[in-house]
Amino acid sequence: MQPATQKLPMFDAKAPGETLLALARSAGLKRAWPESWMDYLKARWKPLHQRMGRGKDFETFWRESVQKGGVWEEIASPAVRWGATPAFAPAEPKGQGSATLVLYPSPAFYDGRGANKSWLQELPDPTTKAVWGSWVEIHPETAAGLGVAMGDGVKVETEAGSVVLPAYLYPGIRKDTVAIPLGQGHTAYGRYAKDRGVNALALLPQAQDSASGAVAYLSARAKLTKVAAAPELVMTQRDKNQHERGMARVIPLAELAPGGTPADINLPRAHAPGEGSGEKGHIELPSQHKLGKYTEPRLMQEGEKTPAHAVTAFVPEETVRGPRQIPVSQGSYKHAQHRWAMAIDLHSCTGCSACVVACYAENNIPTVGPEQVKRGREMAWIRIERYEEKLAAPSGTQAAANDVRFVPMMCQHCTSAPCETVCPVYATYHNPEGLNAQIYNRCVGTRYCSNNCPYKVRAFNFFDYAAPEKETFAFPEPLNWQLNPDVTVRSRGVMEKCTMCVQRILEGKGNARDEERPLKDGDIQTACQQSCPTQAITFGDLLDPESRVAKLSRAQRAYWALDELNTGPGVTYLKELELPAGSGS
Amino acid sequence: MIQKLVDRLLAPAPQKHAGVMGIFEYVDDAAAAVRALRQVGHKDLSVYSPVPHHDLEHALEQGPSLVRWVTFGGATLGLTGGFSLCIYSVISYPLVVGGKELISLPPFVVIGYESMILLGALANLMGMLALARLPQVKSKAPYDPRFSLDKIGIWVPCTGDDAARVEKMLRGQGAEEVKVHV
Amino acid sequence: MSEEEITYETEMTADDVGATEHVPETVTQKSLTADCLRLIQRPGWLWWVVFLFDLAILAVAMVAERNQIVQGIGVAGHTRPVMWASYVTNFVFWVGIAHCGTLVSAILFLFRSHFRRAVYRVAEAMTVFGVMTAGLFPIIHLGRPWFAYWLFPYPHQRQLWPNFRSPLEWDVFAVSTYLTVSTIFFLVGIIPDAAAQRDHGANRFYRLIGHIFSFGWTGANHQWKHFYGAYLYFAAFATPLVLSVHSVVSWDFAMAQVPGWHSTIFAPYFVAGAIFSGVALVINLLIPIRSVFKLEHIVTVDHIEKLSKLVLLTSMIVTYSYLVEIFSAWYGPSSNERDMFMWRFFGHFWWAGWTMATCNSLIPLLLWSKKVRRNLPLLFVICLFVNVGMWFERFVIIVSSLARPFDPAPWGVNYKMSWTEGAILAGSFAWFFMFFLIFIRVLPAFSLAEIKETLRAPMRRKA
Repeated sequence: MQPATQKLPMFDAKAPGETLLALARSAGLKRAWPESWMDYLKARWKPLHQRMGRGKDFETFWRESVQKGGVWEEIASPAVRWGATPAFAPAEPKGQGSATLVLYPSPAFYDGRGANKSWLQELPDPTTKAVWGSWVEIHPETAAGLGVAMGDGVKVETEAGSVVLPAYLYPGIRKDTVAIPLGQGHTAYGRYAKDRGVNALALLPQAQDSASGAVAYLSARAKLTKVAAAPELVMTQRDKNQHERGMARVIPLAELAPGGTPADINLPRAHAPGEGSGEKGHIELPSQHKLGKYTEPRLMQEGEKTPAHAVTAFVPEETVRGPRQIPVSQGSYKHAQHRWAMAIDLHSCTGCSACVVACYAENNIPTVGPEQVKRGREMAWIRIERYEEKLAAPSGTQAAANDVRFVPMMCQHCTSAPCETVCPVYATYHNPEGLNAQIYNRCVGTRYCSNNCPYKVRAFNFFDYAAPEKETFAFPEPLNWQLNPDVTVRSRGVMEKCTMCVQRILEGKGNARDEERPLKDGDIQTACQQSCPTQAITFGDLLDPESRVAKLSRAQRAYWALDELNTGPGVTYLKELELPAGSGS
Repeated sequence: MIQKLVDRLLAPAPQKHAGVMGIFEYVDDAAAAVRALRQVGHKDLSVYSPVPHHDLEHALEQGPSLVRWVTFGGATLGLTGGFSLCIYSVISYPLVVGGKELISLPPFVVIGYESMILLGALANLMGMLALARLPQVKSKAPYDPRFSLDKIGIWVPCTGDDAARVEKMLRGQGAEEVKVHV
Repeated sequence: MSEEEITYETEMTADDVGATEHVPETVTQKSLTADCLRLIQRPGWLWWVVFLFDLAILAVAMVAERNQIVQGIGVAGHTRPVMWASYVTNFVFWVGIAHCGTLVSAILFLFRSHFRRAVYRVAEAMTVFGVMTAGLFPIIHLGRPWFAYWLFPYPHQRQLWPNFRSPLEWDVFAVSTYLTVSTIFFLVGIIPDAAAQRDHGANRFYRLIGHIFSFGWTGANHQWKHFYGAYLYFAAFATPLVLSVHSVVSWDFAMAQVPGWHSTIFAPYFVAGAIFSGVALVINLLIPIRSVFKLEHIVTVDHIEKLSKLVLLTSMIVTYSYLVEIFSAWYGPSSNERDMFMWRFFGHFWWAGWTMATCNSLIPLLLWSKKVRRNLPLLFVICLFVNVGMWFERFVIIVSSLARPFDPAPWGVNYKMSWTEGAILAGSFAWFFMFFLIFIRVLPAFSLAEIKETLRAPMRRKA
């Protein structure tokens, strides 16, 4: 019953109990229904009060129970005895088809419960990078036998029924198996879920797994035929080949620790680039090859006072930090107190894409729908790039295995950002704390910054996703209630990108200032860092020598994406470990 | 209504001119006349022609136009102004972009160069208009439309006896028409 | 004062008095004026048909643009990573077209070329209207075009200035300087001819226009002195301006890191390409004008042949630039660039790449033959192909380079031109031709004063 029992002001929501009572009354069931759920519950507790609350009046007993969360009494533990080991019958797929049909829960929708969430529909599937639809995964050789290319229509037919799906050619599946994700194909359930994709459960015969009683998922063989028409396969990343660009790198374990398991896989490298320049008090940015005059972070010297601009947004307007308050002679950028940066451990990243959804939630990112994603206009500020590398075949007989690598790619907050120089109106510039700042209300939308960004992490608002009167409105009721009030909602014609959750940075700094203590490592977490289940993303202050990000940025495994371009990124990647063959990873 | 306005704009303004206008067809005649007149002392004569002729220019002994100095001033102002604008803007509101110097001279060269050309050209235009006394509202001499077609006119401001002498000289040099205005 | 005729030595010979091989003996100053002013009269039905058709296309384009402003740039075909496409292509195309006029009027003036006199007014008009068309596109392609004025440096309450390090800001300065200077150059050059129009125009309306544009010009010696004094400096300014403006436009690309853009040859490459497409369009305009208005004796086949030699020369330079780019990509260390050039000719946009190469490098090879150069219908067709090829060159440079960025993840999402972009492209031609059609009917399309200078000066003594 706790905590909310009142009607919510914006929605006509009731507590579940109230709903049941209202249903009972409107169904015409004639009984003396209590006035409210509270009354009903209290009436039910009267016997409990009789049994356990002697000596207090009912109201006191009730209040104490509510405060504690309940009343408990000891009961004797029943004895438990193991029965015979259950025998699991092996799955026996039935049917005439050539391929075994595997239906698997979709990482985004699970069994379909998430299908009405536009974030999840627009989330690229970690395996196929497809969005807003269904597909069937087929091995390329099987597909070649059918004459099917990537995206062609395939009719999957079992004893129970048939569906038409676009084909996704995937070498990571067995040649005699096809796989279809569950979760789509709703006929109702909401505007985003309705009539989208295909419900693969239609292919299963009505059968139950004998041991568990659940739906027998592995019980059908499917016949595959090519068809001319197919629903479209919309993917955000078609090509899973790195083309030797060095985006996702590995390091053999032997190189990291010759002669055995290393104690710490984040051992620092012997000599970081740019180190040894000798200037006192300077901490080199790990990715910089040469110290820049304006952007190298610097430790505070003895007796130096914190300049006004280095504190928070909560400082009064007269002493606000801004480049104009500090004369150039003092070097506006040299007195920064923090240098924000990130380190991403590719060995821990599983490609689950929770960070992508968290970013959408935190930063009011609009979803654009399948038509726009087809034209490459998804608004994601962070994307998981999936690269499949063919490893050398371990023995001559086996086919080469595919090594799958994931690279979370967001704005790298480069020291020598190519995007900043080319904006004609200073809508993007480098702020003193190392962030590449995007000023939405200054942007006129020339899009030169996106052209010059080698990582292509900038998203442009091609339509008005924030205007309720237009059909491209991305936040129809009740999605507008979810919008984060700390973050602008951008209008059309404006460029946006990862800000390293600058609103959280300001909040963290403000809290520390209010509590009159310095910032600690871990006070500020970006949304992607917070949501990562394997803690692959680390965010922090490079100027804090004890911070995790400072240590990771100097690890031997560290590398920077496209570093030959000398952009000096603030995001350090840690190479995936290549374990020796046969180690079972 | 519009017709009347147009007519009024096009109608030549009644002007008072005192002098002699000689109209020539041939360039060498006109050049000889100019030399002769200048020798006698009429240095303030004007020559109207549809195209400039070297013969006439030599006869008139015109020096080079002074427009070039105005142009030079404008161009210098443009070059220094362009650089000053850029440097002032980055000092007044220092924003670091791309890790580059605040006062980054190479890109500012482009701005300075274009400003030099812009202000130089504008100064050139202003200088030309000022020195050539354009737009001309009041004419210095009775204009004949044939001067924009194929005839050359020599206007000598003078009065009385002078006018008679000039008239004789012009006829002697082969003028098609000579008209004395008082 | 003796009345004897004064004989004197003139340092001029008959040859100095203009290149009379360009103009037949039958042309006199009077007939020339009559011929040229004949264009400036009430237009016939053909002109009206063409003009109204032109306005119709312009109206469609304006509707498309309004739609784009209200809905957003999404109605065009842009994608991530192809964030610049046909609008920037059109911008560079039109600036390129505009450059030919300044080349012909200013640079050839400095070289004392005589053949330029018959053709340069049309070329200059093309410059002014071309820059006016080009100047629309930096506004059209903006995401928030109502804030386009932020790119201009004006004193601001918040003391914000534009970023002078950005090539787009250099564009603002270069293109607005070019527009200003070429308009001034154009209008100043028109002054003596407008005076002729004022004096001899067909009716009151045209004479009034002549009145306005002639500034009260009388042709007095002091006016000519300052006129040519200033004109020399206009030409002297316009020459480095032409070279710098298209270099600045090319640096929009060369200053970026994108493989396929980041190349030092872009400045001379684009300038040569600009002259290439501009001269081709001049030829395309002059051939119909001279035949429709029966001015074959003023704009002769010789003039057009000389222009076509320029087309051939610049085609050679552009071809050389292509070869240098391809060689640098192959020979250099950047595998990204090598990949990109292979993709440019064998990837999704292979048809655009080969159109560019054929139209710009192969077809102009026909111009080596004198017979082809003097065959006006064939020349007209060749120059049309040249313009198509040059549009595709900018398209290929912009779109194919952007579609193949460093990071392979955005590959495969290809750009497709939308109806809005097509309408606006057609509208840009309509805008240009609208001004051009009005111009040839309202102001002298041929430079009377300068062509008169090419005629034999009327001399009593023929020695």
